[in-house]
Amino acid sequence: MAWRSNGRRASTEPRPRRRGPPRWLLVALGVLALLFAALRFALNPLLAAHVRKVLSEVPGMSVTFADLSVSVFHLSGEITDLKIVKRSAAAQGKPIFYARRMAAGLYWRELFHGHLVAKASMEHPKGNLIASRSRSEQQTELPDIADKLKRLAPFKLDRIEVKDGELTFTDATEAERAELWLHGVEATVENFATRPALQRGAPTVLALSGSLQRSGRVSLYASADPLAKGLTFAGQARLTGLRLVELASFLSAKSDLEPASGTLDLSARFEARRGRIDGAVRPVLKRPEVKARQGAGLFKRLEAAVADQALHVFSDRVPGRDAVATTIPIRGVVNDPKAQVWPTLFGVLRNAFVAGLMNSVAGLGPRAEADR
Amino acid sequence: MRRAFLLPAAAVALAACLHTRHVGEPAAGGDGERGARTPAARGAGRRVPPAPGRPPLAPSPQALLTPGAARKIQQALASRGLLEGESTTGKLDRKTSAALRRFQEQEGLAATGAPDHETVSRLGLDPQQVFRVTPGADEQRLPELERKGEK
Repeated sequence: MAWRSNGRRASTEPRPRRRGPPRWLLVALGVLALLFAALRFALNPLLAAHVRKVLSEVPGMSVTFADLSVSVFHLSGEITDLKIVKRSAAAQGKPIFYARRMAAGLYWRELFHGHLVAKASMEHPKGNLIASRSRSEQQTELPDIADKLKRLAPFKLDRIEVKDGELTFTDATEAERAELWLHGVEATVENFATRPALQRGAPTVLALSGSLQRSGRVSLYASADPLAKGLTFAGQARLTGLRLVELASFLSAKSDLEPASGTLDLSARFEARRGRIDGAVRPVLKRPEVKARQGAGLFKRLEAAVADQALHVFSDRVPGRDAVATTIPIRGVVNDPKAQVWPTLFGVLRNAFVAGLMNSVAGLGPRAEADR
Repeated sequence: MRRAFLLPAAAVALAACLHTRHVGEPAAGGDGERGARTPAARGAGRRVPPAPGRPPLAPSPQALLTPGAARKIQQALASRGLLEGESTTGKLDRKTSAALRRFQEQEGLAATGAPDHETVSRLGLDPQQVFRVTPGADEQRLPELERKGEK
């Protein structure tokens, strides 16, 4: 290479020809990369601020979270320590919903087909439902997320997974508060589509298992057609090995009766077609004994004695097993065309549980045919 | 210098590919092409007969499986040592449910004890061969879908 005395390259030598992309393209790519990096760092705080603002406008609810992050590459997002508190019930200190971690992501491949298909998971979610005569204390209404999803473009939740969830149901309608505690909940919901084209001939399926109080094991399976006209679902639930003494507060609040011993098994089957619900719940009490609650009046004590005697009479009807079994029908009609499948399903189960339990423990005659 | 610009682009492409491989496989519950299904012969009595063009509904997982699918699930569990060989009865009984729960725990899935699409996929089975669907549900409802613009 020839150089001039002043260090510049000799002009006579031909410059090496530049190969590859032109300079402007490299600069553009560089700018894009910088913009992308800036967006990557700014996206999460900006999005978190925006979501906080939107959530602060939810009527009657205070919604907070610790952190929110999204991944553009993975088309996924994650939110931690999400807490929803009903403002009027905030003094009670129990959020209506809390989740340690919630994550959701979209499938790239389905996007290429023009479909919005997502998958979501929740870790350690906790729900606190309170039934109360006081409207300010009552917190049974959850935000109608499903309805909002349906209003979106064609959308499908391929799978929702819940790990180690909890649900506490407090009945504050009586002077004595009663609590049911469902915990260790593992659940999945698959194939929840908002449009028939995404449903592809398969039902939405819910599977759940968990523990009720300390000793009861719960399992639930239901398949539903959320796009059918009227509520349409079918399912079964089973509760096994629940010690009756763990239902003491619940029973005494409802009936002034207190279980002394025994266990409860309960199975329920239900089906809804076009809003008409049919099914049956079959509670089986094993070696049950009840007594009157402390402080109950003479009438209640008498009732307890009769109930206890009735239980023994029923027990004799199952030779060798010392168990009480009746079958109670579940029937109902949901006229509201906008009624949602899952709240209705849980309502059916809650009613089945209460009806099955109270009907048996109070020793009343079965409302329907007594099996066996 | 060129490499410096190409690297981010390559990383983007790689990340997208990797993601597609891991997450982009929906548990084939409702997606993907579905061939015609033979209606399940067994357990039909417990199924809710589907309305025309509507998905099948049933109160139990067994009734939503294709014939022989329960045995396939049991064999897959048995091959992993989670179920005794003699328990492959072809019925989703309590032992199978407990084995499914153990498998789901091992895989970090929600341990429901029920055979869902993700669990079946991870057992090495094809969910489209395992679960019943209403064949051609979309085709039967074509006029309705076209009317709604959801075809």
